[in-house]
Amino acid sequence: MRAAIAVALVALAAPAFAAGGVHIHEDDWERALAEAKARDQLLFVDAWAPW
Amino acid sequence: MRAYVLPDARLARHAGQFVWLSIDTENPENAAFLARFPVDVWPTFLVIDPRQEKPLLKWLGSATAAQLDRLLQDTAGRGPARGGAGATLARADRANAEGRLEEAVAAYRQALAQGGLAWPRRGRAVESLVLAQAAAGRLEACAATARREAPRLTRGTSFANVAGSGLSCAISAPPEATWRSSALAALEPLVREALALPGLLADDRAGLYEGLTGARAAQGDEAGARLLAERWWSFLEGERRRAASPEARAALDSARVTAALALGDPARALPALETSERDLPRDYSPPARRAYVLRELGRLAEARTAVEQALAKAYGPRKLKIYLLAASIMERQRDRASLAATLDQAVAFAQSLPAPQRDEKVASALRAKLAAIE
Repeated sequence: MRAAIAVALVALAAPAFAAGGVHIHEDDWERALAEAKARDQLLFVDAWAPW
Repeated sequence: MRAYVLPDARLARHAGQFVWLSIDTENPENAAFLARFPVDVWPTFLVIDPRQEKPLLKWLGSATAAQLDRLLQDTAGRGPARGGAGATLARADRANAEGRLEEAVAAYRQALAQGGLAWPRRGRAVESLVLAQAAAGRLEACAATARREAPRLTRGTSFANVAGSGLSCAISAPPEATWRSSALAALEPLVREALALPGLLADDRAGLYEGLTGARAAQGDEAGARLLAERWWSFLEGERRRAASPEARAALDSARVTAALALGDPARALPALETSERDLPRDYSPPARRAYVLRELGRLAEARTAVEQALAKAYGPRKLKIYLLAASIMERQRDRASLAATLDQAVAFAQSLPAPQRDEKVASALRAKLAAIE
């Protein structure tokens, strides 16, 4: 339950956008890390730069 | 990548299995992430174990949706046969992601030996091996792996990337290296074959043209290099006409500049750069590239205006390289006062960057230029 609440709070607060069903956090390592720990899921990171 | 690959349905099925994070490496707010997970190739994809805060996989460069789908399956433990070759591949990926390149190379080799020629992950594992060898500076081994493995790979993205990476390793070797000439001769036909394959990413295909052009030039065949550069340019122009958005059109601008330079005609790239600059007014890359091209053309006053526009828009670590470009333009203009002021600003900006985002080589070059004129 604690994990579920943590996930809900993180999901509400995190800046993110959705791409084809994939919910992506933007530039927020700490929040994404907290959510991954709470959900017990791996993190997928796309590191990019304007090109 | 973000606009085209991530929305793909093949990745959407992993949506609830990973937490997804996008990191702009130019953004100072991402310094803490970059201190833990350094990035020097764009894009770089990482899969991170959040409990240990360690990378399980680091993938350099772009990837098709199908490639990413397989990588995600591998790291999520749902790929075929997690024991044996699959487990060794996972160990190799972890070593590679943590920068233990020699260990990664040995483990990728072991995984290939365990998996055998029919192993479904063979193409991906060979691709990772070649890239790890290249990153470790083992150019001869990189080219040799590509020569040996590419011919027996299924024709597809991994085949193209293995052949292309092997050719790049051979081109990057010193001309006096005794193995270089035969490696170039063996790899060129494979890269030509790869060019004919459907389904490659446009920037991968552009990289194959660049490799073939470089291979011809490396062997002293200027006419052949020019012929390939013309084909490369035609491909890039076709992509420009086909592009569905300004971002997609601008994604190959870097290749357009390189191809135009290979043709000895840098001005060819200017119309595309001007279009990108109009379409993407907040992006620093189009004016920076235009400044570079104009400098090559000797149009220094225009280059100066363009580089000042790029500096006004740049905000992250790459701004240091734009300062370096500005300095080179001012040197050619013999404008010593502006040069000194710009280098002062550049050194101060370098100091203001968080350490993980400061390219020390570029920062040192700027400091050395400033010291030289003081």
